[in-house]
Amino acid sequence: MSATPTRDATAPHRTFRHHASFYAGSRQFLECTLSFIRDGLAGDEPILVAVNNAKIILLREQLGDHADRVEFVDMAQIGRNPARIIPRWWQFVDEHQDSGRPIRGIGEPIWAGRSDAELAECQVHERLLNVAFADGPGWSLLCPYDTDTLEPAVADEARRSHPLLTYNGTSHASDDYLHADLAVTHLRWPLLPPPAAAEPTEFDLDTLRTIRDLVADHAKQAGLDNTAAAHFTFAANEIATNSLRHGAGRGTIRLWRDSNALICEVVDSGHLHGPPLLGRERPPIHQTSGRGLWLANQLCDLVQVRSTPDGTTVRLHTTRR
Amino acid sequence: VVDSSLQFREWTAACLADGARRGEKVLRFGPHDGMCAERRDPAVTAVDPRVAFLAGGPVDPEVMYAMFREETAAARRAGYRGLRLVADMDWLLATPPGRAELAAFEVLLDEVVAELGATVVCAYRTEHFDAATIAEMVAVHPHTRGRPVAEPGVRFWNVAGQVWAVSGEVDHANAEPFGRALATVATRTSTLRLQAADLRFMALSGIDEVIRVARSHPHLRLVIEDPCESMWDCWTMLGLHRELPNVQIHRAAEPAHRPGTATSSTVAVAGPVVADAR
Repeated sequence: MSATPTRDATAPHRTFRHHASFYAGSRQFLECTLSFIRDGLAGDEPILVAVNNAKIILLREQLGDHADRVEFVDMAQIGRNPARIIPRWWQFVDEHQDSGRPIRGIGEPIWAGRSDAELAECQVHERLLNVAFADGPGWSLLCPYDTDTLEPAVADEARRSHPLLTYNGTSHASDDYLHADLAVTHLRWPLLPPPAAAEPTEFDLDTLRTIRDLVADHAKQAGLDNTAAAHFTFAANEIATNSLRHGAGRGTIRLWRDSNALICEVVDSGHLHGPPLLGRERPPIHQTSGRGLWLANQLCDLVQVRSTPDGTTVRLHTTRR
Repeated sequence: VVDSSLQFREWTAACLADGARRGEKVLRFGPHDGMCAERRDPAVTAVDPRVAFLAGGPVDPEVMYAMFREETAAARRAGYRGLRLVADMDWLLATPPGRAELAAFEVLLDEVVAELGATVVCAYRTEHFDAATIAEMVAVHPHTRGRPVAEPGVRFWNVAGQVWAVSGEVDHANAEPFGRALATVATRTSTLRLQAADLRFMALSGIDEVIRVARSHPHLRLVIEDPCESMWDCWTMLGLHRELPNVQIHRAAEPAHRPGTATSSTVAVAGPVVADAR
């Protein structure tokens, strides 16, 4: 891959600096993150750290009294659905951009144990970060990758999605970085085929209610609690309604379970034409499109959207808790 | 919902006889030439409302509501316990109103009927009214007899005064008639309570209708009581509790795990729709 020059080299505080930092084990994790945090503290910068709770405890111990100057959030919670992470960064940056100080954050959305589907959507998230902040405001985000536990292919993709790579505290431009404009290809990324046992059910306007009953039945059988089942059914209804509106008035639905999630797939013949961040930003009240997908992201643990001129597939995942 | 004249005659006779037994004044509305038997029955007042109240013109809701009030008052003065009416809605066919107009008439008639404590049966013949019209009329009556070709999936009716109720499920298929019913009652009051405990599902399409009514009636206070959990959650997730302060959502038992979900909501300006953006 050819390297695309990163804009941040000349104006470090006015552009988005998106770093991948590779570490092996807890000691290296602390080394790479603590130096980043301490640099920020020295400049009195607002800092948000989104990692898992165990790492939050580690960092707090090391930072001592300074930990109170850092905002911590549990990535396992805010990043359960990776599509909800960018809005959290938007919120953080919005809160502080008027302060005039540089802003920095640490976000570790990818960890061992993420399912293949979650990993793919986390990688979509990493690419979309470059789109989300392409026009500013400027800030620095460090994304740690644990090379001890993650597959080498995950690090390879991190080199494509991050314009800056940090090894042992030293940053340099990634030769493999795909510029944001070229990287938004995720709508064409393949999905694993549904299991053969997941039978398709066709639907149209007259059978929308039947589809909800089908989803609700599967949710009950999967052991979802009432709230999760209601949310999953609502989300499925909205995605199916999108098929009615944009997919020639009909679609096909399949439901199945994998090891830990109930999955609902809606397929139609429409071709999704939306902005890359569709489904991540809450649409304003006057906008009647885009809200179904946004709500699905709020109500489900994972939403996968794929679209080509041949049709659109949306998969909703919800996990029994 | 009537499939055959024989069936209608049987239902009408039974309904009117029941009213007479209960001491109610019984009326039969319909096209003049379709009520030969009733016109011969001294216990039944058979009237073609188009001729009797509308001077042969199209339906005028206010004239009809005034007529109901007058007839009920007269019945009570005459010692009846109230009014019972079976209307063959074929009386409308000479100058048929549009579906939306008819639905608005029916919605507000329900309010008048509830206020008067009357019993009114509106009979729609499947051979004279299309399935979509019958479905929408069924949706704005609290009770249905007969099987509509297309089940509307939702019911909207008056409980008392400005208290209304909705039951069933609102989705993309029936949101529009639901919105029409809501808009009809919203034009006539400053406070509207909508009981939604029996509303099992409200899709975004239905929420859109609530938004539309709230935005077009900024001085209306709309209180939605006990909606389903997913409607409540989506309302707050979309920030509507902040943006539409004239809509208040009251829940009997607020979920303890959702702090900070305020109960009211406002509006922004209508803007462009992004096509195909889902």
